[in-house]
Amino acid sequence: MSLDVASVRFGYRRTPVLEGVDLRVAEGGFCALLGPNGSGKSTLTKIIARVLTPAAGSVSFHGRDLLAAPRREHARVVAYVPQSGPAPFEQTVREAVLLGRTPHIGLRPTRRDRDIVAAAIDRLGLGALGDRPMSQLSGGQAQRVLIARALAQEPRVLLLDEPTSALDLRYQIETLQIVRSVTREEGVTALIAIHDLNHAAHFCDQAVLLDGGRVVADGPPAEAFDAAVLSRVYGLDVRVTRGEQGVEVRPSALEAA
Amino acid sequence: MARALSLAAAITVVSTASACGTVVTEDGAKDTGSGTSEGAITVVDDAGRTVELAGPAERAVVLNSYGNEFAQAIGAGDRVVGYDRVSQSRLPYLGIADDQVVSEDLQEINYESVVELDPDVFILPRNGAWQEAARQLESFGIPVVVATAWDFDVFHETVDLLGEVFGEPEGAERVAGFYDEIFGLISDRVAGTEPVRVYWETEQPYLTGLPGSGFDQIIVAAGGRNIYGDLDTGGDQQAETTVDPASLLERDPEVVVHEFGPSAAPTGDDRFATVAADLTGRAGWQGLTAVRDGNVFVTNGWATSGLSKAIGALYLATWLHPGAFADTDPDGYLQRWAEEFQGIEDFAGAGAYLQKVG
Amino acid sequence: MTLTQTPPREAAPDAPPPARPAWRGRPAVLWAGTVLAVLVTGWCVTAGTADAGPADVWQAVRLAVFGGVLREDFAQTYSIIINLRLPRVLLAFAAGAALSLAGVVMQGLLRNPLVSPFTLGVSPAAAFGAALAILLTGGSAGSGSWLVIGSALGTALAVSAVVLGLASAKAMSAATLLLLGIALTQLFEAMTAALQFVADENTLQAIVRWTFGSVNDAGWQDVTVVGAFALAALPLLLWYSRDLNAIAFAGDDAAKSLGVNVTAVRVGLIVVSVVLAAVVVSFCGVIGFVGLVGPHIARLAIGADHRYLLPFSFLTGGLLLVIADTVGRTVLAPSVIPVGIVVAFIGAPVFINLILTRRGAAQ
Repeated sequence: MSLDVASVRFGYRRTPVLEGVDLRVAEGGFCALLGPNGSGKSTLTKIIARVLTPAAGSVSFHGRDLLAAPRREHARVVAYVPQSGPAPFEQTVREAVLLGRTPHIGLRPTRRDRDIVAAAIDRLGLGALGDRPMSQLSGGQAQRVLIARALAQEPRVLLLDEPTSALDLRYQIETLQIVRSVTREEGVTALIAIHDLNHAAHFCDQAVLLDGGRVVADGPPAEAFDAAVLSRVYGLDVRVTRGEQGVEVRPSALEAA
Repeated sequence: MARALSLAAAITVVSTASACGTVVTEDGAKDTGSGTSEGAITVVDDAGRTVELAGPAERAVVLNSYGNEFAQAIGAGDRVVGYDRVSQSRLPYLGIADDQVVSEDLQEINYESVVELDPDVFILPRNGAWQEAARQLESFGIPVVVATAWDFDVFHETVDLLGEVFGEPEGAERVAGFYDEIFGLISDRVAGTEPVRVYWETEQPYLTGLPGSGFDQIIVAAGGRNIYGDLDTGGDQQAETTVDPASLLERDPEVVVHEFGPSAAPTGDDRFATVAADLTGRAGWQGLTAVRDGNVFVTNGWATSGLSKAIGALYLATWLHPGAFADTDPDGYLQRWAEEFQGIEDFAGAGAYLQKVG
Repeated sequence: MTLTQTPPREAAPDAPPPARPAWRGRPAVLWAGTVLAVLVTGWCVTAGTADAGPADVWQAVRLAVFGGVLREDFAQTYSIIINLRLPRVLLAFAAGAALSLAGVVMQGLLRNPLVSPFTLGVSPAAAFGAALAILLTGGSAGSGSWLVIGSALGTALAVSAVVLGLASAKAMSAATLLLLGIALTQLFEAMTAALQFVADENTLQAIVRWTFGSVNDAGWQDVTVVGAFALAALPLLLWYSRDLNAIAFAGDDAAKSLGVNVTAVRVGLIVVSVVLAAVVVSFCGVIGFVGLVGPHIARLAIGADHRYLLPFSFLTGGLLLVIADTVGRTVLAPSVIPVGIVVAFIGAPVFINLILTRRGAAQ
């Protein structure tokens, strides 16, 4: 019972981005996709979300091929949270979250759809903002609306593409806490492309390090983080310390002299 | 499920929409007079259409000022009940009231106004929206006749056509006779003369007539040579084009005529002065033979394009070959056209319509 | 002015509730709009040069639908209402509705409230196609003939393929897309104008008709064709309103992840909207701004959810054109101002306002 990615290859024109990626995330696990800019972590989330089509390879969940399923069925299993961006038209928070029901509804949302939307809004602490236009929200609130939308999709797999990079520290932490609770409480499998190694180490069960379109480390953060490998991948000398608080990564240059 | 409903709605809507075309007809009594054969006349109009009229028109709507001049000239002016706005402003002597105007131009016609005037016929030139007019007026039993009075090439046909429509064959003959008299006089006198280089400008700076246009034809008829007579765009039958100012200097006309838009209201002297100053002030024009010799003329199109440009042809001929026309007074012909044919009672004299400004 | 002014975007989660309504009564708004549209349209049939009150209109319509004996003294009024007014008003409504629908779809798919068949150059291209067909047939193919419609449609589809192809290939910003539309509008208007150098005046008058929009030519056949396209398009588009919502609000990537077949939906709906615009152009000429202003007004009234926005835009676009045409044929009566000119007086200011107040959102 797991999300399985096997031999996935992808390239833009002649530039290869992913050169045979294999990874497995246990059901209910929270996996961080790490790596420097251009390492392919964002591309990999988009392939699993079926925003991009890989040149080769397979993605399956519970042994079922996710890339071959009809889009609507795929969308009932996999939800994708992009980075929040501006929308050209005005929409309330509730309407935005209701979009998450797209793969489930016909023309009209039912009572049940509305209940699910309300629950997702509450879960993200947006209860008071249901009728607020999206344009009046802060960046952190907008990002949480997108997560609520993904939850309203009732997915078994939740993909997040650098959801925290535009947020301040408080919202970064809150977002990661919410995603972790979703994996813990609902058994949803989550995969997050993220930059901050320490956040990943703190919140995630599994860390996958990508470099040049290949997996160079995979495992629980405490095991996957290797100073030598990280230093090579990021081109920066780093130190990895393991203590009571878990594993921590710091650039050597920032160590107290 | 919702999608199925939507599909059903689509099918219903489309089938309903197509059913709307079949309107139940009612007892129409006898509204269109197509059955009346007594006195009916059949004409072939300028668009080549065969049009049936119940009889000579007692009430007509005529668009285009030249068409109205012709209707007036053949003696049918009293039967015209509707006009276009341009006729109203160009021909003040017709005394057209605002409620007789049915359109601003030849395109956007108020058919309701036309219907309210209850005409026997609707006449407009071929550059008007005649197909549309024919369609829209059909259900009211108002026939549409295309008559293009501004076209030099179909002068006789147009006058004859209007004569038939209004039942005024003698009037039409009189107008055609006056026209033939003028062109007869011109061709007699210019025979054997040496062609003179002419530049004829109409309305806009450097807008001139090319072969195929009425302007080119009267230049040739008046014993001139159109300095742009070698150009041929092969398109628009009016064949007017804007020319390169430099080419005009090269072609050096001996006579220049600038005709501005027609209006029967007498032109003020200041307008002539303004146009003259503009013409002679143009770059390089001081060196033109026409300007040096003082052969620059400014005219009102109502005069020189009147009677399908016959009046203009006569004036031009006298300007090109003053010797051959020493005993001819073109002003007399303009006066006849104004008083005898147009019925103007207070004709302001030729000087109010054209002047030598060079 | 304090230095520590908090920008509105950083409003705290527990800020007071918004002033804007939450679009709860949208079905009611839609019904009210429908009733209003019917009333206003009916009233517009009674307006015009000839005297014809509501009673006359009612009687004429009843006669036309159910039959009966037409009194001789009513014959002219009957004919004015049934053969001139009604087709004209209905054609204006159908054309406005079709253009407005086309505008909503283009705006949603391109995620840009400033695009419309007119501002993308699609309508001017269709007008050129229509004019070309008329020229090549020597004026024998008139307004609404299938050859003219086909030619208008062909040019419009080709142009939209170019515009939208470029837009997606170059990941164009909204502003660039509009500039491209302006360039194409200029190009096709110039090409239509250039046709007059090779057209005789008989053909020319038929071509000129296409450069500005008019419903002066309205007949029942025009009403049937334009009306059928507009009415058929509405449920078809509603069917895809869920997909349209996902693309418009969430963007292409998120819409794909929400199970929408973005490429197919986009191509299909663009074709539908271009067909709508081209059909209107081939009957009524280029009527600008309706495809822009209709959706804009509808969005203000009922919100941006396409399930309601589509039918409401149908109403606002139709009403806008009916009112503009009624103004055009009454304000300077008996002269008729082409509806395309009247609507530009309303449309241009709204367009400018849209540009100036555009949220940074419309990237």
